[in-house]
Amino acid sequence: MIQLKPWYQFDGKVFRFKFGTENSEASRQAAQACKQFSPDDEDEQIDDTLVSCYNCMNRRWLIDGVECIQFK
Amino acid sequence: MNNEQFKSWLICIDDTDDIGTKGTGEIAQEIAEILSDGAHRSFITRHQLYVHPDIPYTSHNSAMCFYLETNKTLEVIKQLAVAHLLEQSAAASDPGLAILACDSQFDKEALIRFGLEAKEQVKTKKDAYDLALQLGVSLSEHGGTGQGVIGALAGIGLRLYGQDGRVKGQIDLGQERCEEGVELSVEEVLTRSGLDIVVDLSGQQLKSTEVLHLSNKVKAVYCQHQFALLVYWNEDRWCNALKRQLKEY
Repeated sequence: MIQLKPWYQFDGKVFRFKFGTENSEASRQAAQACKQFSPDDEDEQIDDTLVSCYNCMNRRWLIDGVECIQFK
Repeated sequence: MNNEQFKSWLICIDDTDDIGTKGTGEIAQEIAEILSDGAHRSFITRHQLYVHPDIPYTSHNSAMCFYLETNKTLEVIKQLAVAHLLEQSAAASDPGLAILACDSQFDKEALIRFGLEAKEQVKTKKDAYDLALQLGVSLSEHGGTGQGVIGALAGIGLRLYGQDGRVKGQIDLGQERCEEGVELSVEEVLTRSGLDIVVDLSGQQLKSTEVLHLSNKVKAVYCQHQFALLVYWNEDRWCNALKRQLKEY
């Protein structure tokens, strides 16, 4: 998962997306770099561009952000 | 068959899936079809609930709700729904099922309040069971911790609220088969899609003669107690809403 280091950091509990929940551009860039991207159900996608961490089944929404569970 | 025997129901399930398994929406669709003997035509709504460290959701914490008219009894509805939940839910899930007889006497505002609170607060199974008992809602759990009863009850409350939820699936009006998208009047869209209204981002309804430009994925929402196509004004024309705009629902 080294390829995702520019976009994610460990916050002491989870590997959190550095750019919050509204930065589609960064979310797309991260997903493009990721070899593990896999789309969630269409009903759970929120980015119009498919390959985006916001649309990935391995992302988990947090109260104030999003984490990647692949790092576990 | 005597139409007088037909009753109206709201049915909601939550917490049936896990990463990589069949989604809750798909299971809800299958239950709707089973209960309708393969003739289900009503839309299913997806309701976003609170995401919080104290809530054991998988990745997004949403419930799926649908309306049903049937002459089946509550016992039969529940039996069929539970059988399918047990068969299809993920092993690590905590499924909950809520069934409301729409024509029963119940405190609608209390149920709506529970749904709205479940979007912003951590609710407990006891909260859900206490309210369901008080209101006469059938609420049951079917595996794991049974935490899904909270979302199942909340989903019905949010559906009754009438201003929450995205419609499961996409609306196909031929727009994805045409690179440029398609131009259709509001009237044509409503006739062909089965939706009730077209609204802009402020909730204003468009007239039936307005022309819409539809492209890529077209999705609907539940607002003003109706199934609605959400549109926005872009480059001098009405366009179907983007996913980030739909996210508000």
